[in-house]
Amino acid sequence: MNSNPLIPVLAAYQVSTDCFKVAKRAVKQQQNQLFADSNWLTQQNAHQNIDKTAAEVSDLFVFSLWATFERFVISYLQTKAVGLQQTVAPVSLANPLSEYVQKEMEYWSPKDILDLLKNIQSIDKNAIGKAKQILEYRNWIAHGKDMKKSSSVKAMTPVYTYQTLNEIVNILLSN
Amino acid sequence: MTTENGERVKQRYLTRVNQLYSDITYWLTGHQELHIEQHSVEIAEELTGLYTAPTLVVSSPTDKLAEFKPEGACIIEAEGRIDVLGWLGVEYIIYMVNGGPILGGQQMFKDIEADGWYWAENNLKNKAHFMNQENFFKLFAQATDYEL
Repeated sequence: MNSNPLIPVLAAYQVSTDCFKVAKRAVKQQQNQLFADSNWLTQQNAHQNIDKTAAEVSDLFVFSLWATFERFVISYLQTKAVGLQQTVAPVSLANPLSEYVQKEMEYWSPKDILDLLKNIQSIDKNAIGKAKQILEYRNWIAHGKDMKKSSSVKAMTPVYTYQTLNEIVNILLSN
Repeated sequence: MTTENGERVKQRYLTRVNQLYSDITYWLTGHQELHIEQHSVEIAEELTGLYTAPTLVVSSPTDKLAEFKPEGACIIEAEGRIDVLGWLGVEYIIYMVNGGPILGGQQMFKDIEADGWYWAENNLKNKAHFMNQENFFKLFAQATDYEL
């Protein structure tokens, strides 16, 4: 719980997008030897595949970011629930209650968890509101960006998604 | 069903998209080697419903360089997004209002003064560039490796 888990997710996304750029430039410069042992037969093929993959990676970044954020927040709350062991009476109930609450947290809805975080004074309520919107955006992507199931909102950029969730993570790390 | 507010938001967004396309077309008038054409894309949003928006495709004699593809009017902390699907990579044009998004109680992008279209860099530098000709050329080079 001492390090920010979102940073490696962002780094992986940025490295991926940089790799796609380098690969596209290599393809354009007709460095055909670079196609050896790959599934690409033509430059056009390679270019289109990279475009599709880049879009996929961008979506996966939002998934991964949200999953990592959610795991971090649940783990944070579980460590707080350990404190029940010292405060609950009768003592015989303390441990089972603490363990039960920690186990049940795994099934709490993300929206309820975000609402719970509002009780931390240093967390901006607007940040929680934005995180809820990012959750809706994540869910829309997860359902295949179905045109029949409209998105309510989208994020500005993938890095904006990171920064919004990161604001909450940083506050939890200091609490 | 689209509400009255949804219809207003949609029309406002489409007007702004078309205005930006007019500007881009004007900025590219000195580049006769480039070909510009419009297509369309469908967008579905809870507030605005399903609608069609224009895309703008810029090509050189040999390659498709970039496609400007509207993503919608309903963007967190903004009033619209257009993705620039460049030959090299994707860049994002955002309609910023009221100084843009707030992060940690402060303006996320320091360079936003007026409402309008901005190229928001997709990195941690938190830079947004107002869409004028100079910044458009920089954006275009970033997305396509094609220097205007």
